[in-house]
Amino acid sequence: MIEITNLTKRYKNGCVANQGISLKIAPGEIFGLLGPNGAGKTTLVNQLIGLLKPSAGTITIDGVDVVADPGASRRLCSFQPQSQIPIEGLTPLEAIELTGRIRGMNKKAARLRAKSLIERLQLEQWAKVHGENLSGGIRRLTAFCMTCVAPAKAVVLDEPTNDVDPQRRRLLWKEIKNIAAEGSTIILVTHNVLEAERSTDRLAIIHKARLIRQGTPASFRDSEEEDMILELILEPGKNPGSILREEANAIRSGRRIFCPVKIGEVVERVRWANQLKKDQLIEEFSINPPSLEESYLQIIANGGDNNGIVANNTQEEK
Amino acid sequence: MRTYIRPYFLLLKWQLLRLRVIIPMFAVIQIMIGVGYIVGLGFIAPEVDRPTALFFVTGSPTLISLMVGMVLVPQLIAEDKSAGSLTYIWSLPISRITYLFADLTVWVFSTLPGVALALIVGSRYYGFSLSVSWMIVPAMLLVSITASCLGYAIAHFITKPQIISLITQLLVFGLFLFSPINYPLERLPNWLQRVHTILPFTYMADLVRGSLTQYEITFPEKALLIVSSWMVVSFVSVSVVLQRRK
Repeated sequence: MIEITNLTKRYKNGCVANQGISLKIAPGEIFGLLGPNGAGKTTLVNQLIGLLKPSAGTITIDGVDVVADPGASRRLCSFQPQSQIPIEGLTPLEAIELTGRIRGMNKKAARLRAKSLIERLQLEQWAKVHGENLSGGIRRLTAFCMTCVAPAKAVVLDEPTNDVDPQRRRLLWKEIKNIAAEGSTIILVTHNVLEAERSTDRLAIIHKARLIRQGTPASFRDSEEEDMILELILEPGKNPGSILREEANAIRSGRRIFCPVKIGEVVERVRWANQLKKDQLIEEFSINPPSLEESYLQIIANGGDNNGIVANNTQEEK
Repeated sequence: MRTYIRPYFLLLKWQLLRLRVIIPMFAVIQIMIGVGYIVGLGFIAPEVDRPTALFFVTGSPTLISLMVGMVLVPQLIAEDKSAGSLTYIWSLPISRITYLFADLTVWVFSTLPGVALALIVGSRYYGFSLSVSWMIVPAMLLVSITASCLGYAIAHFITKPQIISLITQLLVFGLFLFSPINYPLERLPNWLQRVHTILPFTYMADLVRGSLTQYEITFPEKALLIVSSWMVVSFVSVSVVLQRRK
């Protein structure tokens, strides 16, 4: 069990990266951390794995105070950073086996586990290729194997699926679920909302240093059952100003614009969207029940208050 | 003790395997430094006399150790810092001091080929023989470890990798031209001589030279004390910085 209570991190330059964050994550749970760039996700993770010292608050892993004993944190947690792990000169087999041994496994067990992970992620053809000759995706999968070669109480994965092809992405998720089933707590830091929605048991959104929402992926979508989402995809280079002026609640993400629509207004809004398409302002449109991505964007846009949903982490408001 | 020894050898293996990629390039650089250093002198001073050549050649082990320790080591650490590689290493359940020891071992031993080559080529080229004493082993270890500890200090006290790179460029210049490693201290202006009574470079060169030739070190204890002090201070301060959580 990971328990984070009232965690605050203030850097020397005065920047507050985490403010009063409280979380409880159970063994075997896959827990997603979502949030925009610079929200404070990496700071939170770095405190958990003992790289940063919190300014206030506590972190315990299975009852062990890892703020007081960062060495315990490194023994209990296994971490895959977002940046690539330095494996130039090492083959995936060597790197995974050596990490297993550094994490306390004997040579034979580490070798067996390394081979089994390589097989399960279908990396056999690269098992003996030097790191500098591997593609970004294979290096990331190697890093994943290095992270989970030895059992750990908590496995922290920062964007583990970046650069990974769709086929191996599935294998990777299967492996993550296996590790969770064996009792490790998985903390997944990601920007990929779709993956987070499909693969996590619970999620937390961190925004501007605070935890603004947590719950199951389904609970994020229950804002207003009557709402549908009209998704417009802009023609490349077109200015969405007129749409955004007309739709006060619309959220823009690149060329995509999400507009909440009441059930009774669907026909009218579809006609409007059709007209936009005829006017060649948008390329296409679709109307769907809200997904986590729209809810997420809405929550971020509202700074934590999604159509009346208030952050359920009340401590941060103090 | 097993807690430290096992991870030490595993990390040593890790570092050696990582270096596998740059070892061919490193060997070429070592040959270039070792041979180029000696042959280059012939171009700078074609009429060099024997005592000058002897002084120059016996300065090469110190200069090569300083180049590796204070220039190459900080540059490679700066690269690791920029790439975020150190974050991963620090997240492993190993003592950072063990990591420091493993890394120092690699760098100390990696200077040996260049040093040996410079001495062999130098003594043949200028036609003299060296009288190598057993003292060369502790002297080279002390010089090489101190140089790498200083390099570590540069890399870990300066937070910005670009600044590390600039400072090491400046160091190359300062060590080659303004440090009395391969020429006598007396040639420098008085103020710079005084600076070098505090800095370790002259004493490092003296200790190594004294173990390669009949060269008389004026105050061997003082040289030993000053170089050891630099080693201890840089090692302790690097250890503190490495273990500190921000």
